[in-house]
Amino acid sequence: MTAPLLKVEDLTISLASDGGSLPLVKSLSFEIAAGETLCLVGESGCGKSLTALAIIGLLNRRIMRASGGGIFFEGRDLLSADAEAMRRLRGDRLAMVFQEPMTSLNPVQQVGRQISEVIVEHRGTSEREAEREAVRLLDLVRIPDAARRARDFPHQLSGGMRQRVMIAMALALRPALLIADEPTTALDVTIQAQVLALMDELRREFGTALLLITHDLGVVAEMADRVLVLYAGRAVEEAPVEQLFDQPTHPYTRGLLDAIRQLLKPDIERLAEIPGTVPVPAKLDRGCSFAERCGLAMPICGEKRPVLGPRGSRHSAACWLGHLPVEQPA
Amino acid sequence: MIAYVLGRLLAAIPVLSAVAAFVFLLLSLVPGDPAVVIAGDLATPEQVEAIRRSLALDRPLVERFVTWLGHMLTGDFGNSLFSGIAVSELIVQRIEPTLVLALMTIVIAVTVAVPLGLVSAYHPTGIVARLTMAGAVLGFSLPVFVVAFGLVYVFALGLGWFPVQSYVPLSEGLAGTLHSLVLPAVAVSFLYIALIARVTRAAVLEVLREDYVRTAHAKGLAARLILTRHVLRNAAVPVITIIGIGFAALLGGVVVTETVFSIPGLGRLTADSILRRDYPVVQALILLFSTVYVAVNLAVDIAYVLVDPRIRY
Repeated sequence: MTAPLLKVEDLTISLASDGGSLPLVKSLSFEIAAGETLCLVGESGCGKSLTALAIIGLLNRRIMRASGGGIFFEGRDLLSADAEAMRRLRGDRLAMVFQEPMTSLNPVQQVGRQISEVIVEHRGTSEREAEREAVRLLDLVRIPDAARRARDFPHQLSGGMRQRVMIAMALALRPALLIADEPTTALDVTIQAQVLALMDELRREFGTALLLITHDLGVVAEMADRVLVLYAGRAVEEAPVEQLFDQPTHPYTRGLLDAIRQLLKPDIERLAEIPGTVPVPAKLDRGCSFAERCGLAMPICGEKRPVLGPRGSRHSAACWLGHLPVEQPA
Repeated sequence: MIAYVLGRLLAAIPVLSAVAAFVFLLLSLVPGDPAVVIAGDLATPEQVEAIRRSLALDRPLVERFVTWLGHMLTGDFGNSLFSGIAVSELIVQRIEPTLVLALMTIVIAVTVAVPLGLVSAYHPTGIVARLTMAGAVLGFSLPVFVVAFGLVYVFALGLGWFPVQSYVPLSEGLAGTLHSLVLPAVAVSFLYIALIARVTRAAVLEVLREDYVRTAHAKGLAARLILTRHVLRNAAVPVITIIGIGFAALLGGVVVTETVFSIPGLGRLTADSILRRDYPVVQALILLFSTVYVAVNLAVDIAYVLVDPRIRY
């Protein structure tokens, strides 16, 4: 088997505050193979976006620290790479699409130019050639009348068009990995599916792997090859998408799935919900982070933290259920 | 755009009319009989009467205003009471040094302050930021005449690089003019460097937090390119505003500097005319400064449209 395109090993991301450091993402490990789509799922604040920013090297260095085993991308460790090396990778081999198409484009620059400058920066092509390529890319993301639209400013485009411009920009140099952080959350529901389908189609054409961050399980079902569920900064379950939907093993994953399955039933009176809220990062670190909200919690759950253990060939979960330790907790 | 400019020019008419009315009334607002005031302490009643008639002060107020306004519109600002020279000629003589000094000051200030503000915002804890912010406090609090005398002491008296005083007119060559204005321009620019650097820093800090700056980083652009192409242009509106106001203020407000360096500019003309109660000159100068403010404001608004395509009028 070949080495994975991206291998995140024991990644911890901490908020460096006056009193010390507060871990927000805790010993996270996962892999993405070339051309594969991995969905990172979890509720707000669970560390999805931080993980993405750590990979692409855009964490706010003044307050955030990434540490741990490493982030290996195409064989090199991004955690120890210097700023200039990271800059050369970004936009070229490693690209990102952000959540907010309304604010993620420069309001005073023509959109064509915003695409072409990435090409000029990394390939050193002439402005004119890069502009022609930008128009071609706009055409590829189905912006009608691309040559004219390339001279538009972002405020002259709709939200969906802007996000397609972002996608064109991110895929301009056919990166090996595209990170998309809630790329359709800010869009109209009718546009969401279009944009996702377009992104997936181009990604397949270019052989680009996708790390898709979302809290929308509908999007997961549509897009993912594999899914990684995060809870309070830790991986709680990882599985190929069909297995996750068919046999979720972690109570948190089940809770998430129950919540949307009930939406499909016409006669529900009250949505199934997971009781409680995500714990504050500062207070916990004993036992399972989810224990307080878990309907199946056992005494051990409050005592000892479960580690990710196998639940099938490519399926793993971090839960004491079906994975009771051999020895009794101390 | 052309329609907008025309509209703005039309809108300037009421503003300037109000200023004109005020300037005209200035003479009537002076305590006592303006003719007596103008004639001075030693005048005979006949002289006072002659002045009154020459200024048409014996006519009704409205008639005087209309006549006066007519003269203004045709460019006839009357004669100086002090020297007898036509006011328009006096102003033309004096406007050159002031204009060159103001332009030079603004160019120096912008060239120094904008990069300083940019770097201070990008590295907020760096050495440049610390020095700039400390220097800004100094720039705000040091009176211009202190800076001016300090510069004269070191660079004119000490090193002899520049003249202590005097102004070389443009007719004798641009290089000589610029050389004679280096010290005054640097002296006045201290305050403007402080002002523009602070405004630039604040505006850039705000833009650096924007999502599109993160996008630019995600594209792997070089930091220098991000700062100049993406950040600076978005931070330009407040910076342009402060530069515009600064320039307008410079045209009317360099009295101290012109005095210290003995530059025959508008600032000194204004101060001298007020002291001599040379009302026609004062009136014309106030009108001129108001017009400059209106023009600079218009220029600033047009600049907004050029830097930010979202702004449309």
